[in-house]
Amino acid sequence: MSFFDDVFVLPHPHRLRASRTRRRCYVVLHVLITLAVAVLMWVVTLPDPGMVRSGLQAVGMLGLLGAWFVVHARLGQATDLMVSYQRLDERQRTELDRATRIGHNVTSVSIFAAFSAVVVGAFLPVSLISELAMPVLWVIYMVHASTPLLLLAWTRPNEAPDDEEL
Amino acid sequence: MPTERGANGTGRRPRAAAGSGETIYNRIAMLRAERNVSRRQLAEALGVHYQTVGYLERGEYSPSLHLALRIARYFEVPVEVVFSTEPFPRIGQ
Repeated sequence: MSFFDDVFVLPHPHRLRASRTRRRCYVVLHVLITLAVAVLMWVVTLPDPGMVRSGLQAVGMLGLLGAWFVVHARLGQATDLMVSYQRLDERQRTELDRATRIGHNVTSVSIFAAFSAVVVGAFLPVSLISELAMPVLWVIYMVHASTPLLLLAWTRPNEAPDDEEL
Repeated sequence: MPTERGANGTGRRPRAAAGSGETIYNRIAMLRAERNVSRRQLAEALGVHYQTVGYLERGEYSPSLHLALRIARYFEVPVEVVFSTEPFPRIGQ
């Protein structure tokens, strides 16, 4: 295996790569961490945080972002999304293209939903809109960046063992 | 993942490949077994991921023309021996 494979590709057999159940658990964890970061972003905008709360928020944000990065990277390795497009075979490219198309559609819906919410929210206090801007932008960005990854991790079947492993 | 048997039980009748209404039967698994070739060996020879060979055998992915021709060339048989739009005839009939 090359250096690239050692770093970016999970070996076979590897439990996360091979098991759809494990990958789905990681997907759920990824979504929960993303939502937790969004909530924390909203909490940060609340007035008069104080030293203790600011410190806790900073630590919490760093911890969550670190956890998000680890989960995202592991899922990327397990679904070959860390591999460059040129190194994928035709089936993998077809799967990735399909997941990317779905990701674009989901992003469009998310942006439209946010836009609609802003239009409706014109009747809401301005402070609420400014408090929610960052969390909503974070969620939309995550939807765009992560949907292909999460879709592939969720839908790929368990890896079939090779004949030599039977 | 369960596979479906063809009408007369030979060749893998696939679950239709994603996004395709076409059913393509193949005998990749049989040819591999005859020649004692593992999925990894075939995958390495074709330059594809070893899981892709499994997808091909189960009919969950329809190969491009180029890949189909390379598979046939690897087994040294005509492409019609490997792939068909009709179920393969049962051996012995």
